[in-house]
Amino acid sequence: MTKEPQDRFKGYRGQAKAALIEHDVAVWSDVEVHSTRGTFRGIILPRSETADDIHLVMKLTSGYNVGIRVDTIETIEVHGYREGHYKIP
Amino acid sequence: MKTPEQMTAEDYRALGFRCGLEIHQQLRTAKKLFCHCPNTTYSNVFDAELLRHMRPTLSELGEYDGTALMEFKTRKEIIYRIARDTVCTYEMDDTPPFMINDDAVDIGLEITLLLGCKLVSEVHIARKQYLDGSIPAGFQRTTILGVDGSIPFQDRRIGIRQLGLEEDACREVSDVGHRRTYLTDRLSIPLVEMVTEPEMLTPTEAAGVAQVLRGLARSTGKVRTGHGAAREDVNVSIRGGERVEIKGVPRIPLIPALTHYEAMRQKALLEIRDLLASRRIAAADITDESFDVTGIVKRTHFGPLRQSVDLGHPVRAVCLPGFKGILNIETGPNNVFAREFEGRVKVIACLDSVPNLLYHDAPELSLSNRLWDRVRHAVSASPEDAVLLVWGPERDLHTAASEIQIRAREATIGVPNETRRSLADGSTVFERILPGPDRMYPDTDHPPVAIADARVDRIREGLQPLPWDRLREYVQKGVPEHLGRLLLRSPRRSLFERLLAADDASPIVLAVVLGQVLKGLQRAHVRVDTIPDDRLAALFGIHATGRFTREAFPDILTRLAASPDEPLTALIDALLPQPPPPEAVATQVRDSLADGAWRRDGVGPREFLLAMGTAMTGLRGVVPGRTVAELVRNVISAGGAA
Repeated sequence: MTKEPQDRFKGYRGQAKAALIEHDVAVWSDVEVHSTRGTFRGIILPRSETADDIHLVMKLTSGYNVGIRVDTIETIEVHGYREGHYKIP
Repeated sequence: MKTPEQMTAEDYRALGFRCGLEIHQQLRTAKKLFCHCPNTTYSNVFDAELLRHMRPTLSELGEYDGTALMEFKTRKEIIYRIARDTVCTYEMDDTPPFMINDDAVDIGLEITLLLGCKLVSEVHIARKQYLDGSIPAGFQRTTILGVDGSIPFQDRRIGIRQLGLEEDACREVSDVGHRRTYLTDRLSIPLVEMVTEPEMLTPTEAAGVAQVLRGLARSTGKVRTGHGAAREDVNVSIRGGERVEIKGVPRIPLIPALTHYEAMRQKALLEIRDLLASRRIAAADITDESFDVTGIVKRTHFGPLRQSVDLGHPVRAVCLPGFKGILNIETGPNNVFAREFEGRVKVIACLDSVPNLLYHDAPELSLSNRLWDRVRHAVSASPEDAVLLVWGPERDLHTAASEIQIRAREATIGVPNETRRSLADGSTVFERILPGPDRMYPDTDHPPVAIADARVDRIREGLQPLPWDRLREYVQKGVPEHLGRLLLRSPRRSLFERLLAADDASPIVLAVVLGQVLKGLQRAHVRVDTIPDDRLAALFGIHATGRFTREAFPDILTRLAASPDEPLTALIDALLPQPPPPEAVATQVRDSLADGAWRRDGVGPREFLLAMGTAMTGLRGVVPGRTVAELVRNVISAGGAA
């Protein structure tokens, strides 16, 4: 991963940021998250800075975003990296 | 083309048939999903009309969705009919949403748990672009509550990909030319979308799984019922084909024919692809060129084209190299490949008066041979090429010619990804390009909502038994399975279960009356839905005393519906005599048959029925038919007369 540290965890802070560091993943990582509520596959998205610090946000392959509470995460497998560039049309 | 009746499961396996379902089920909440408007019945009354235009938006991964771009090409004016009682400024996208309706989330979570899905910990509202105008904002607010569940079906399990909670769209009133009109009362009613994996291997299985899912949602008692409250999108593909989505199937019994004929359409499209390949035609051979041939055809006697020309509209010709004969290949019931072009021209170029195109080798009469020769010459068509004509306003005509070329290029690849609209004869027509994940982007108006463990635990504790577990229990108690299935969907299910558990009444009588008889009377417009549960329970109590037989239920229930305040015993006494003692019954049967009028040519089944008819007079409803039949048989075997 070649991003600067502040970009790697864009919007994340507190427990959620600690979890990303602990599992060695970052924003835009294509991952499979194994949690106590089940397995979720998708891309880790930046988090809104006004949102809480106990969830990470993922975009599932269906295009939907979901939040995973970080204290339910058991392991994270990394499958790749896919950065999005959002432009206002 | 084979009909569904001519196909076996093995035939579908050979085709590589696969089908997945998206079941949309409206929820029964007091309010809509993101505002405080009532979740109420529909009405065609409206107080005002609004006009909107739609344009596409990028997803947060920076891409446009193909469907959104296609809808943008249609340049539609959208009219919304709004009523004060059912719509506020939220639905019209003039104010932000309120927080998501907690009751709807709870019902959604309940169904998610029933499907065995893994729950998300935080709900994120997404905006899913809908540029067809069915939602004034241009997007639907939607979210995922759970993924990766399963339900039992026959001897295996069917995977559930996800459960979504979203707001319903408008009801379309009309769609003519560049103007589409909607009613907005249905807009934003909460619904769940249950998405299966594509694991149904025959059309019949697809309908069966749809029934299971609908039954599961209804088993909560918290979903809307009635016309349009549940709608199915059906995804179909065959080996070598592509996923095609048939949208908004209103009734489950339509699913087998629709999925079968979609599979047949894909088979035909793959054969067309192979035929084009054998003629060495590739996508690149189909150019962007089209020709103005107005001058050649303007004096034609072919009505639709002539009327358009007389209005000053031009006519364009498109030459498809190597397509000779292909436009006449059958792709469905009363359908040929040319209809694929017709659909695109109709939907995207908005040239919606059919016929909207002509082609040279069509079986129907169109231009004279002389005019066709001149057109073919003008576009330099070889004998192996097909030539199509389209006509209409200049700007639409360029879109139309371009869409014909796009569809022809797709023919060289096989089956295009698209959504199709269902028709009553089992066929479908083009609706739009199949949307992908790029049409989603985050809703910046609504914060994420955490789903706390305590909330999940509360819902889990209140979960109703699963329908298939209920059915197993009914059958164990002696209820025939087909009646059990009716009762699972019945509004009287809880009464049935209470009476079944009490063990005072015959399970079969309970099932027949509460499952079948009430439904039959409702169909005959008897307002049995107004009869309170406690009156029905009391009626079963009286039946258990032997006062009347099960044959009398329809008459009693009909009167009960019409006389809500009449005491039950008085009501029954007014309809039926007191049951005679057993000795008197035997005497009455013998006496009624004494004149031998029931005799015809011996003592066969016909005579038995005639004798039963005679003997039941005066006993119907108070003496069981089985008892009378036994007595009648005795009379017949004793020689026919007392």
